[in-house]
Amino acid sequence: MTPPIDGSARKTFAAGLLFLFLACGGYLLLRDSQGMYSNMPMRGDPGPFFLASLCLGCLALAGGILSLIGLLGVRDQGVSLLPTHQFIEGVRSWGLPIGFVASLLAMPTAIEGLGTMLAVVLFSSIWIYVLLSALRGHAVRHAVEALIFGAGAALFIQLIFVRLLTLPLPA
Amino acid sequence: MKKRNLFTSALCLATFAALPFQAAFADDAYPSKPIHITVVWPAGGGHDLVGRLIGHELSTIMDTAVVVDNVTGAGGSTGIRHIAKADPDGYTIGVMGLHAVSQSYMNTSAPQLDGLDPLAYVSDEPGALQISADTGIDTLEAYVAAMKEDPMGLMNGNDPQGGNSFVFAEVIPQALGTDMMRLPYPGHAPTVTALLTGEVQTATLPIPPILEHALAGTINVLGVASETRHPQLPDVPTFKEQGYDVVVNDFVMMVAPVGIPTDIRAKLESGLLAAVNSEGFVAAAKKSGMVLRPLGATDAAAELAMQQELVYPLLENAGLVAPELKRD
Amino acid sequence: MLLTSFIDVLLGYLSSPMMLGLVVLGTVLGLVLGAIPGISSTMALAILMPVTFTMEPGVAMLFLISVFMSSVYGGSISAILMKLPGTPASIFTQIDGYPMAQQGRAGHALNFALVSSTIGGMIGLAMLVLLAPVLAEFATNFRSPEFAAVALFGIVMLSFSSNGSTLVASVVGFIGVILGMVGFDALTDAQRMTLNTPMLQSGLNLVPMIIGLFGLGEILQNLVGFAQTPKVRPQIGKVMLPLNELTSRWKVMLRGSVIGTFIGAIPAAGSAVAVSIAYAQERRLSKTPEKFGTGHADGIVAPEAANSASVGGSLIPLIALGVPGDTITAVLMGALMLHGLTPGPLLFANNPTFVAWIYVSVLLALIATLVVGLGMIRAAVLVTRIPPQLMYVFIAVFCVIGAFAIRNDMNDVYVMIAFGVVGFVFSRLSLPVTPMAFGLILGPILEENLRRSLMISRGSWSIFLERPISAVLIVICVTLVSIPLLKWSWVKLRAL
Repeated sequence: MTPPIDGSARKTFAAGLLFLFLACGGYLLLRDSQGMYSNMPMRGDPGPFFLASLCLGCLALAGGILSLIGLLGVRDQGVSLLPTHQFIEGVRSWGLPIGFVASLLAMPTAIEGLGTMLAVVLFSSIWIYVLLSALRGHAVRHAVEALIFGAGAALFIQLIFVRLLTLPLPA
Repeated sequence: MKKRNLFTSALCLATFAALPFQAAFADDAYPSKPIHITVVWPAGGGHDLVGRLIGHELSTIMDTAVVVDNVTGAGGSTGIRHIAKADPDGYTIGVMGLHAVSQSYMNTSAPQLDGLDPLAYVSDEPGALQISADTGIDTLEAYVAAMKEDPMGLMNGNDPQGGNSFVFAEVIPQALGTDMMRLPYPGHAPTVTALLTGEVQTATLPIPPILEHALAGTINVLGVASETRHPQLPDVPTFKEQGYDVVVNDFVMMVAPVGIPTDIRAKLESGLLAAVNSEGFVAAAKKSGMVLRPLGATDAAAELAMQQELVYPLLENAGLVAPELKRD
Repeated sequence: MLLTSFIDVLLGYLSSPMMLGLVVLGTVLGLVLGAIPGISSTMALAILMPVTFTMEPGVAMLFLISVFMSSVYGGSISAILMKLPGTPASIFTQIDGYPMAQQGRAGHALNFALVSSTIGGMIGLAMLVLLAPVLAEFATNFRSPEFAAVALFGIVMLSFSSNGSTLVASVVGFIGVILGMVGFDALTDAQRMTLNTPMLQSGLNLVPMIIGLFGLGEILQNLVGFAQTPKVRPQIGKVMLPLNELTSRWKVMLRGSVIGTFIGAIPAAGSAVAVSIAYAQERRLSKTPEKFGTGHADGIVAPEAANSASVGGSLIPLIALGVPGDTITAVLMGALMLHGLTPGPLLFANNPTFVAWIYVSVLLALIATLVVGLGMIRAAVLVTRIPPQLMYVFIAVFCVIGAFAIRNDMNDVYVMIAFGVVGFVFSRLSLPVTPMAFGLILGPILEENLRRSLMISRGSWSIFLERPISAVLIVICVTLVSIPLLKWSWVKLRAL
């Protein structure tokens, strides 16, 4: 049977595992909430956990089917593991997105601690510089450019969102 | 070429943004910055209307900009937490009602009310019982008779547990000695829609959302749960007049985080009271069906304490108080 | 009678330069605010509401309706150029609009969106003027069982509407439905999947989710091997659209508009449902469904027409019943109340001119959006020329601020980032993400109404088959699901 995702057994297997993982996580969360719920649902109401359990069940079932198809496919197609140097290359190319997410995660704390302006200047200047130097190599010129555009972004946010729209962003 | 364009525009923005900056540094007299009024429900609702109308009046009285922030989610607790956690500098205040009292007993992660400092009491929102005109029932007597005959014959639309019309739907039938089938709707507007399309036949909403429909005659109001008749519906008798002793109401009050300096707090209190008493606010509030009862900070705190005493036993009877928050 | 007062008001407005100026001002503000990622139509309205305090109610409505109509199109601009949908409706515009812009046809994509939303709006308005009583009657037939059936119908339609496997799309849709349950249950106030933490109790708001899923997800995707991939900035290409490209799609526009108006007229269904059903059904009817998602014009035209038409539809419950049809009409209703006018059956029955005011405002706003929008396209497409290193960082900043702004809650920023990662992982695994967004929209409608219907029927599921509209919808759903299954087993049987 052809794996349903792009015809790729590996992707199908991974997606199946992801669905199974999500179903398990959801089930644990739901169990936790059920523990907190002490009320009787109204007559006729299948209760606040009925549809959630149904959907989680479908998710787990689909995850199981997909990972099975994927696994069989991997066996048939005999997908070999990537050579080590290619694998390392692959992981290295993920460096930028991972770093980007990490610094975004720091943004709310930075905004609350340093104020919106400064946090945005820092974030955008650093990242513009990182991306620029990834493309064209390190140079002082790039740092200056990054700083200017970073400041520009922060001023735009300050002008539109804080001054004009008066959002309660930390100053 | 392109890059230079972007450069120039960034510079232009910089100069623009710098202009309004100077004002922010002159920080001596309160208020020197915009005051933010937090509304815990989305734009367009009853609390939003109160917040915006008061904000409009307050900005002329205090001579500063007043901004309404809708901080919504988690049955109103997110917004209440936003107020309680804000800097007590008098630049963040908020609108709150019964929902915050219910949440403080039902939800262990909801903020407790001791983090809030009542500044001014704005209005009562008495509970009431409405019935669709299509049922042909237009007196409380006829309703009680119909309900005694078939307790499940007429369905009632109300909030989910903890909302004000849910509380009214618990208290009013108790006093009438009837039972009712309560169908939950997420908010007042969907409840009104259900009443109009005939999915439910009765509702226990406060007056503002149904005022226009009552005046148009599509909905009959059978009784109001207050001491006096509702000013916008003088022909509708209270429950007390009809022999049922039930008085229950939601309320609207202005609160601030605890710890505001005394002088700023006094300025805010008097400014808010002036806003609530202003001609523009009174006229608009009357039209939308609110029952104004402006009170100062001390009385507001007393009202809040009274509401807590009223709501707690109700929620406990309904089994809704979280075990950790039970009183001994 | 309505028609004569409509023409009277229209002539009155047209002969007043002040009014026309106000429409243009409102339109420009709405377009700019709507195009800034992170500002939704509801926010644009709420922000500009204080400006109208001193205006007459009719004038204020004219201004606010101009802001609203143009901000809806403004939202499509950021969806097409930056893959940042700010409103549920533009999720679909983005699916085909963004690839089109990347192919150097940003101008065309914006034109398709603008023209079809203008035409959709006109059709919606015409149906509002001519058929309001009929549509109101239709809308009042909708009770809980019908809402549940419509939501189910939408979910079924959507699982057939994405490229690739239907099974996978439906499963992703289920994930969306589950995500929609995080927070407090709308009917019992029970906590679900919250771990009793304030952040999860707030629930997952749609806007942070979609800007993360699509906007941030796309950036993360582009950052993989950033230095190695050649940076080709899309050409701007021709901005104006050949007329025949538009006229040949009149059927798509008409279908989208009719669906939009009808579904918009159902209270609480709103534009999101209208748009999703319009898009899904267009894809089903299309002779080339595989082209959807690769920059196909029909994929922009259908949802944009339906979205604008649903505005006309959503005014019907407001005017006929005095209840707001969706969150945006709720804000408009709030604006009316600020001016001391409480919408209700009396307001509109006693003031036919007031109804005419609203209709004329919608018409003028549509025309002004078309004119101003056409003028802005040339400037807007320049956005695609911004070098990627700047673009990605700016978009990320907008994602952060926009996610915060929707409810003024910092937790929503974390939600946005989490969904950025989800969008990234899903696209690495070639899983579709759109069904997740629609599960999140339709799931709560389905669950709430399903359970309320069962409360009404005291637990009997036959309630869904006893009512004609829901019965028809459910039969259609069952047929849609079973036909591919039957076909498949038929093929298998013949092979035996």
